[in-house]
Amino acid sequence: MVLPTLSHWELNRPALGLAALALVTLVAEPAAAHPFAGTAIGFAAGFLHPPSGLDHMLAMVSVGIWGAELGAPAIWLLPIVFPLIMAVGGAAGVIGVPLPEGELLIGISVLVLGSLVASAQRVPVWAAVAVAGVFAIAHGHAHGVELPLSADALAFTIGFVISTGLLHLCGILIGLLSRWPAGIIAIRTGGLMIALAGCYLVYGDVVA
Amino acid sequence: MSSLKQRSGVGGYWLLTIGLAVLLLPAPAEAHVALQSMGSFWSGVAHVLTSLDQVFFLVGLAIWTSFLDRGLDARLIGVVFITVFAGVLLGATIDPEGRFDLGGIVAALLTAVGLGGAARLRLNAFPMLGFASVGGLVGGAAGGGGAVGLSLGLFSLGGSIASASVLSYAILATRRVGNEWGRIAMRAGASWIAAIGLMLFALAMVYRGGHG
Repeated sequence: MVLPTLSHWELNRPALGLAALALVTLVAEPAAAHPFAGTAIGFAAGFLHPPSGLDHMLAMVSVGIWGAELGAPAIWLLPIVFPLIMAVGGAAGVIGVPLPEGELLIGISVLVLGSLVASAQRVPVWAAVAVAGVFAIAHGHAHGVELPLSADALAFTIGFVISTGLLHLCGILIGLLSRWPAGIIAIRTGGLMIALAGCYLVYGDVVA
Repeated sequence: MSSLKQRSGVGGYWLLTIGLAVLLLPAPAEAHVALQSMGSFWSGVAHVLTSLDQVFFLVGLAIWTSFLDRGLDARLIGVVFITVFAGVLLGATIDPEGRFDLGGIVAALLTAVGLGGAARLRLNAFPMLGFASVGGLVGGAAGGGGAVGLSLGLFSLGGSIASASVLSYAILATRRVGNEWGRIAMRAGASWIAAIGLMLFALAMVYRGGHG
């Protein structure tokens, strides 16, 4: 019998590793590590809720961009205040407080925020918070209405709050491009596109 | 005969073979099927680590604490350790079937701790330790039902060690954040925690009112 030598071992190490991996994957054991599937589904549903809706996604990103355009303290105040006010709207949705024309308000939020980004409108911080707050209530209400139907309410809430925050962060990062002349043009063009998308959403709501 | 290197290579080959053979043994992985199968102590640990609301409360508490005096850290961790231990004992003794729904109080505490961190609210040691005590007691009591059929002392110990560990690591991490952007991110994170708490509070009210 010829035993493998060290050179064998070293030369064939990647192949052995691959073979070992293949063998391990063939072990058909029941996957018992998922009793928290409801949590995972709830989190995934909540996390995907804001980015999967064009209206939510554009509004959240716009808030971040606008905050970056306004600079301190709005750049950090808006992402901190927005989730809190959104949660107030969400709580209202959960307990069944009606919000008339909520979808229309969400469409208007995209239109207004897109316009503010496109025009780089500078307003006092309290006014920026007020504008963002009104729209945050509408977006939160929409999340709240859908929340009790999810697989795991806690995980759903965590998912959509984190997702919203990350969309704000994306907006802030995009907004930081305004430090360069070409970036300003890109951002304002993007704002215009968002405003046009808002027009489409408002039109769709009004016609429907 | 071959050199030492050669023999170690052969040994490695056999070890790999034996390792693969062990992996192929069909044994069901029961580690997560039920926390009870892990033993009382580890069930207590896992109970805390898998309670998202409790973990978020502790992280929120760490964020808030990081804006306060450094001398508060150790006392806060100690208070959380003791109150979680006492809370689990209380919860398991008084209400082992979980008839009292503490969801609303837990959500309110989550909201409060998030708001405190987001607003960088300056509190003295006494009210801060009092707040942490209430949080530890309620969080522990809410998890007391998980100790059914287990050794209560070990379950409580596991829960309190896990809570104190999460808080310790979170404080260590948040204390290391020194730059302005990092502090802004922490405050944003605290506002997320407050938002989650607020939503859960509304849900708790709805379910309590029988609308859910």
